[in-house]
Amino acid sequence: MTLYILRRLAAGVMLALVILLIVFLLISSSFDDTARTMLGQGATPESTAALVEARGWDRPVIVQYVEWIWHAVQGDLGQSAFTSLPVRSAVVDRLAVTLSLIVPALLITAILSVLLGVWAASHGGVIDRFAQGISLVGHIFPALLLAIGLVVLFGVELGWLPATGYVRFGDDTLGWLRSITIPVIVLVIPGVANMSAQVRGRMIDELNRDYVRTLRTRGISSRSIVYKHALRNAGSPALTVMSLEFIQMFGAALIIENVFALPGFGSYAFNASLQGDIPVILGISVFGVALVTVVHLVTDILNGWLNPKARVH
Amino acid sequence: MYSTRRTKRRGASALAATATALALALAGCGADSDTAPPDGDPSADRSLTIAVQSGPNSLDPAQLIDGQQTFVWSGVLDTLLARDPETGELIPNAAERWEYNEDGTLLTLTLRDGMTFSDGTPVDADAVVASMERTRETPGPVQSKYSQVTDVTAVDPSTVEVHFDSFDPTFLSNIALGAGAIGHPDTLDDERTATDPVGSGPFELDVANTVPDNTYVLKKREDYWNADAIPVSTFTVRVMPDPTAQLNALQAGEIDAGTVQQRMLGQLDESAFTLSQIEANVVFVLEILDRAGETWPALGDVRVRQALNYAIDREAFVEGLLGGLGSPTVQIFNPQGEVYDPALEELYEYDPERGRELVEEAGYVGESFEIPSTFLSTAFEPTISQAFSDVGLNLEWVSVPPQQVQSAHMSGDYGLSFQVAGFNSDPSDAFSHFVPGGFSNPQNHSDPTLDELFGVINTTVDYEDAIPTYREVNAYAVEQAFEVPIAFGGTTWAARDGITYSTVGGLPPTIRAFGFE
Amino acid sequence: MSTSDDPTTQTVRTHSTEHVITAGADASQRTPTWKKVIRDPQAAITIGLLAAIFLIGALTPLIAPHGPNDADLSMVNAPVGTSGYLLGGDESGRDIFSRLLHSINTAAISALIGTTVALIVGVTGGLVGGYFNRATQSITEWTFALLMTLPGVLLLIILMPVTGGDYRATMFVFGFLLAPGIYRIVRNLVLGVKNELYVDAARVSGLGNVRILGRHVLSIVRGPIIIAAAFMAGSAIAVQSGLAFLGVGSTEIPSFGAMISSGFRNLYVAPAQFLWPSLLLGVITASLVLLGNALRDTLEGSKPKAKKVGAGQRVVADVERDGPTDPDALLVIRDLGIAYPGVDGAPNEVVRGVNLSLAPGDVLGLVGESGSGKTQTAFSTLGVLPSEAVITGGSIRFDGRELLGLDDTSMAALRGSAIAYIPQEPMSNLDPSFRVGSQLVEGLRAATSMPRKDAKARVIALLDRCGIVDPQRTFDAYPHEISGGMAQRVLIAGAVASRPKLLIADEPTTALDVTVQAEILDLLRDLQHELGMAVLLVTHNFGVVADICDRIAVMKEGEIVENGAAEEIFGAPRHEYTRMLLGSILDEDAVRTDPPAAVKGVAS
Repeated sequence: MTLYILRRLAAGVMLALVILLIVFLLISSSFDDTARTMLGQGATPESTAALVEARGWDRPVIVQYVEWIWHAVQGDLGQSAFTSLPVRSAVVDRLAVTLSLIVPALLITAILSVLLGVWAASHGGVIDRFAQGISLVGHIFPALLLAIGLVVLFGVELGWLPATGYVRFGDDTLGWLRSITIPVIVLVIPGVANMSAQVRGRMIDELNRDYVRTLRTRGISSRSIVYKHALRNAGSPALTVMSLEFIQMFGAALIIENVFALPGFGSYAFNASLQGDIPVILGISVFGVALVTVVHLVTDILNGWLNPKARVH
Repeated sequence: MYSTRRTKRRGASALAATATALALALAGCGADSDTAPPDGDPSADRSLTIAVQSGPNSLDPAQLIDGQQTFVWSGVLDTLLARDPETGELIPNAAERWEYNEDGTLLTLTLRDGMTFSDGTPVDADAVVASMERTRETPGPVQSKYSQVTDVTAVDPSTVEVHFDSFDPTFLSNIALGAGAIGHPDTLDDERTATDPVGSGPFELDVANTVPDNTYVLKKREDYWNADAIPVSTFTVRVMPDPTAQLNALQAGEIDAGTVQQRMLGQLDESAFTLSQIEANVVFVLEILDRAGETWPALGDVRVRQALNYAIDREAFVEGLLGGLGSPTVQIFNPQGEVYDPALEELYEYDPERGRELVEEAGYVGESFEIPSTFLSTAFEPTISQAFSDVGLNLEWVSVPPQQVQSAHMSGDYGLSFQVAGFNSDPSDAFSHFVPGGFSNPQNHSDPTLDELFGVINTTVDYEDAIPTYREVNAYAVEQAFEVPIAFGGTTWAARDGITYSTVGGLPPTIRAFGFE
Repeated sequence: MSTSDDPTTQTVRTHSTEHVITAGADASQRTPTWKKVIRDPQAAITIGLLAAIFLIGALTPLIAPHGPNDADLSMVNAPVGTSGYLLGGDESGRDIFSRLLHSINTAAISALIGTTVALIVGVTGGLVGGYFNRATQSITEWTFALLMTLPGVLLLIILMPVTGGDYRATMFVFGFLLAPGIYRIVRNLVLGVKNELYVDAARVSGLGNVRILGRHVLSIVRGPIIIAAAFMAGSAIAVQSGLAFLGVGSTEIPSFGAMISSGFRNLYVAPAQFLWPSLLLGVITASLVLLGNALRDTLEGSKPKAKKVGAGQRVVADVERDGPTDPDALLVIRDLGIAYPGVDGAPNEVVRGVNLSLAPGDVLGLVGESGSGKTQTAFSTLGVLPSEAVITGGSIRFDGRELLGLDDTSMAALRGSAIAYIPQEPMSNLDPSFRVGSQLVEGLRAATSMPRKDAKARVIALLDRCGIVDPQRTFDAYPHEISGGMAQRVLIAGAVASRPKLLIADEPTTALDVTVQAEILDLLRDLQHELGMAVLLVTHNFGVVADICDRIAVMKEGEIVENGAAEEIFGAPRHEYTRMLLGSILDEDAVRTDPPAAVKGVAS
């Protein structure tokens, strides 16, 4: 098991190296743009060249790549070209904010989706149509509109929840909970719309499998068949969907972070990309790969627990 | 002017890149010393929380950016000079007096006595020299302001001499901005200088409660030389790129003051908020980069340039796109400055027919131009395209990603560029728009008349004496239609009742613009 | 962005043999695919809706009253219904209605580019990765794994300097990010059919690799790909809109995202501006998702609908509860009729007027070809008919008690304890996620309420009795760790664990190797003697029947055509069908003639 995890992590490192190289190659054409943006309106060809040289961006890409990795191995991801803030701590801080939205949102999404999906699949009829209706509404209804509606209602009119801002968990746990409530709801709704349909589909598939009939012929109760046998078998593909949902939520979080003025990872990445903040883009790429690797690893380990065939020995 | 235009636009602001949003983000606002609290210092336990659209990039004196970023950095770093909020004139700040030699190649600054950094070290000539020399040598947005400076020396602890290659008419107004920020000489090169510098300004950064790029908490320094002029003990600046978020925060009472887009004003309960309007903070301008017509001969023809000036319905632009907050103009100078001339506004009344005639006369009907489409221009593109086609020209917007905006403007690939330009000072604005190599003139257009006028300006050390020449520059530029100014844009501040925001437009925004009733 | 089904998660249904082959289903095999799709209301409605929307989009130059970027400053935020501005003007004085129409085309082009790139890349990769040798396979596998791990939206944003924010270039890149989903589908299908007989046959007959791929594989992967394409089109449109909303790319390009963004800025002034593009976008993406689902249903074989688990069997006829009973018989089936809804909705009887009688301890062979209704008869006795099935009449009496009309709880009490079942496919009838032993123990305890420890001991003893060499090890194994023959022994152990009075064995040997078949039959016979069970043996194979049965009933097209003692039937078959079946023992040799399961769903 340990060996397996190590192997997977090693593959993750390889992936990070490849992606970094790609990113390096892709942005190598934009060093001048970044320098000019940094210098602003006073930029001249001379000052631009001087800045590019001062930053070492005029050297061969491969040299910069190797050097960057050398520093990264020592825990130094450099500093933002614009704010001079260390990239590593900035990314970690931002990631903490976004994860504290996404992780609760994902857990709630998972729980609600399983409840709704299983319920729909194992009851059929009106309940099934109701669940499908919820899913459809969640697909069509713009989450953004919901976000604004909730903010105006609970933030502005009633004043129950903050309309903007983020409170760190360590500073004030209740405040943290209040600050993430609306954003999490906004993430959960489209998530449930998507996931519950997936869970429903998997469950229906499972409930129509031969082994379910055979279990029934042994007198096993419907409850056990639905919640123990079918759900566990449906869980493995649902988990894969969830891991992809998790990664997708970073995109959705980007919009949420703006509407609620939260210092999150998505907006950080977006801003860095808009500005061409090269060190930050590199840092984000590495963290992005690390994150994705870990999510997939955790998914696979959980999958192994659910699905013996996928288990590693 | 240079300053505000360089304002870093956050990604999120692309989300909301609209006329008013820009006007807000780019707005420069000044200090109002009249709002100093009465006796008994009620500021002792008063706090103020405001929202801005972009936080400071860096607190390193060599990397400062003006515009709304000034709120934070000017709290931590003092500047040598300041601007009078009533008139916009230069006034003493850390420097009590300043004096040029006859040909303007030596500037002598006399510093105030008894100023200290937050760690108790005196703010003296050595500190100023160290900061200026470092800024002059460090690549960054401020460096270009020192292009004429050859040397900075300390004569005695309170006297600094700045030596110039040749007279720089913009230098004084620059040192009322980021170029005049004073950093701590011993820690300037430390890592902390970007994020938590030992400050010379009225506040200290409360690092524990500050989240970079999101929330900046500033605690007042009681040992600051001008502490009486600082009306609050805690000043919190929250970064909210999304205007809707600002409005929500304002209504929820999470911030005391923020800028509100004109179109959102209707949402505010007017009895609960005090609104302060700044009429003109920025100018919306279609810049003609290829004024000499080297690549696009049509643009070198004064008739075509004038035709473009006739083509735009400026009144409708203000009403329709700026929500009425602003005023039509054909000039790029601050209407509250000394160069602006109301009489010139009669030129170029909206007359597409006349414009079309001029284009026909010049023989350029059907000519097409490309122009960068950026986060600045998006909301205005349809209107401007329409104006071009109304006079028989075509305009094609080419999407330029934000990180290439600066490059596109300077590249020479385009003959036109749309800008929302903040005001700096009249001299700086004149230079950046009309002198070869200025930001608005990257293709180095020169003109004998302008050369002559700037020749006079560059040798007239006393600004008062130079004003008539600046006005001639303005009149000539308008007549020659070197640019297509469209409108001045304003800003509305909304604040919890009892808090006011007052300043003339175009000044760097600081805490001192806020007054408490 | 999170609203779209991810194409990477589509699995290909390869499971189980379908026992129900009705006349209606036979007819639908011949119906062209497009007709089947059109007949499905969900598919028809969504296709109609999408076709209408995109047709309007295509006609935009003719119908739109204004150009997408024609601005009239007097129309800024004009209200809905302003003359010439059906839905009003936006923040720049552009006609919202016209922009909405133009946005449809942007969405269509986005979907087209994204999907096409994904299809080309994914199909090529999948064919290569699935068909060729391991080295090629691991390279493609790695490449697509890499593509899949990239966080899409973030990557597209980071790549802005490369794409220049142009939505077409962005969608081109996005196509690569979508490709892994297609790759997986194609690769799995290719792997699945690669070793099927007919590919082997093709190879033997000298067809080149390329022609094999072209002729056989592509025709099979077509269905799943069409389905995935619907989902991917939805994803592409959603992502393009999301990026445009964030301000990536030019606002000159009219798109839903740009319009939503503009409406969002104006939310407090004119909320409707936000609503129109949001709604249209929502309708398009939701339609694509629903269409994808509907296509999956129709192309991959009818997707079962959700139904109440444990609802019991539906009986439409009155059951004669107090009819005459035969005290000597354990099971009496009289006049049984079972129907399924046909393609046109009318019930389609698959079992008609079946009469059977089984004495305690007797072995009855129910013989017939696939689709003759024998399995349906067996299921109805167990009370596990699929929910679509309807019992149209008759009676099933077990031990003097009428089974028809009992609710599922009462049936569940009988199942396992009094009536037990051995399925045909051993592997698919074990829950893959639980250890073999725990499944058997759970069933035994459900039937007998025996303490766990005793149940375990009995199961292990039975496994041993059923000829499993290391019962403890098998007890602790997962189904995928044991062989098919072992699995069938396990299932037999599970069925007899609670000492039932009646064992229903549905083709218990068909899926097994010939050598194993005999052993299993021996085991069944021995157990039958030991436990004194009655056995209803359902099979198509007279060879099996000859070994073990006392009596035989022959079924054809839902009816019993011949019924009698085994020796009589073998000695003097009366019905021609029986003679035909008897004749086929020699040449058929117990290999079923159904097409491979993986192929069946999509080939039709």
